[in-house]
Amino acid sequence: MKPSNIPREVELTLTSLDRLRKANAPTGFANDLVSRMIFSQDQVRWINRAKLALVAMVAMAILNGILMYKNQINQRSVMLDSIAQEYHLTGNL
Amino acid sequence: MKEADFRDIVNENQDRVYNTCLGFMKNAVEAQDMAQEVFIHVYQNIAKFKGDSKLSTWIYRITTNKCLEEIRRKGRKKRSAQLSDISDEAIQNQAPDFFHPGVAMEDKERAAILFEAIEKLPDPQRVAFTLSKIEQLSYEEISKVMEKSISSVESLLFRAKKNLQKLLTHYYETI
Repeated sequence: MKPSNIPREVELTLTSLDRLRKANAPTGFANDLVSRMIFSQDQVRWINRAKLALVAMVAMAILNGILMYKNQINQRSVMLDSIAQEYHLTGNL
Repeated sequence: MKEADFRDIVNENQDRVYNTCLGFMKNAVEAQDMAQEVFIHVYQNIAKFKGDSKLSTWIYRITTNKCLEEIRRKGRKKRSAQLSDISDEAIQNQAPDFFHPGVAMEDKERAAILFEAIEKLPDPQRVAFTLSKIEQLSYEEISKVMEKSISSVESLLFRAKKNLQKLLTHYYETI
C-alpha cells in the first residue's frame, strides 16, 4: 500500500539500519573453515597424484613404443643376417 | 603460516567478515561461504600483506572485492539465464526476501527494502554505504579500506544517500 507521507517513509527507510546490531559468524565457523581447507588440500593432493600417474603412464607407453620399434628393427636385421648366412651371401642386403 | 596463527586471525576477524559478507550477499549460507573464501584468500596471500595498514583493513578490502566479484558473477549468470524486461535500475515491487538478523523488529520491513535499494547503487557507493551502515566504520576507516581520501568517501556516501532517496521515492510512489 502506498504510504501517505512518502518523504517521511523514505527517511525512515534510510535510517532503518542505524540501530543495526552486527551479525556474528555462525558457531563453529573456524572449524568448518579449517575442515574445508584440509579437504581442498587433500583434493589438490589427489589431483596431483592422478596427474603424476597419468604422466607416468604416458611416459611408459612412449618408452614401450620405442622399445617395440627398436626390437622390430633388430628382429628384421637378425632375420636378414640369418638368411644371408644360410645362402652364403656376401655384401649388404 | 601455522594453523594456530591462522585460527587467531579467523577468530579475531570472523564476525566482521561474516557481517560484511551478509550485507553484500543478503543470504546467510552465501555469506558464510564467501567469508570462508575470504579467509582462504587471506591464508594463501598473507605473504603479500606488507603491514602498511591494519590487518583488519586488508581483510575488509579482500572481503568487499570478493563479494563484488561474486555478485558480478551471479549477475552475469542471471542475465544470461533469463531475459528480463524489468528495469535493473528500479527496486522491484515484490516482497523483499532478505531480513538481516541484527535489524530491530520495527525496522525489519523498511531495512529489507533498503537492502534492495543498496543493491542498485554503483559499486563504490555500495561499498562505502555498506561499510558505513552495516559495519559502522568511520569515514577514515572506510577511506583506508577503499584506498580513497576521506573527502572522496564523504562524497560517495552523499551520492549514495541521494541515489537511495530517489530509488526509495520511486519505489513508494509505484507500490
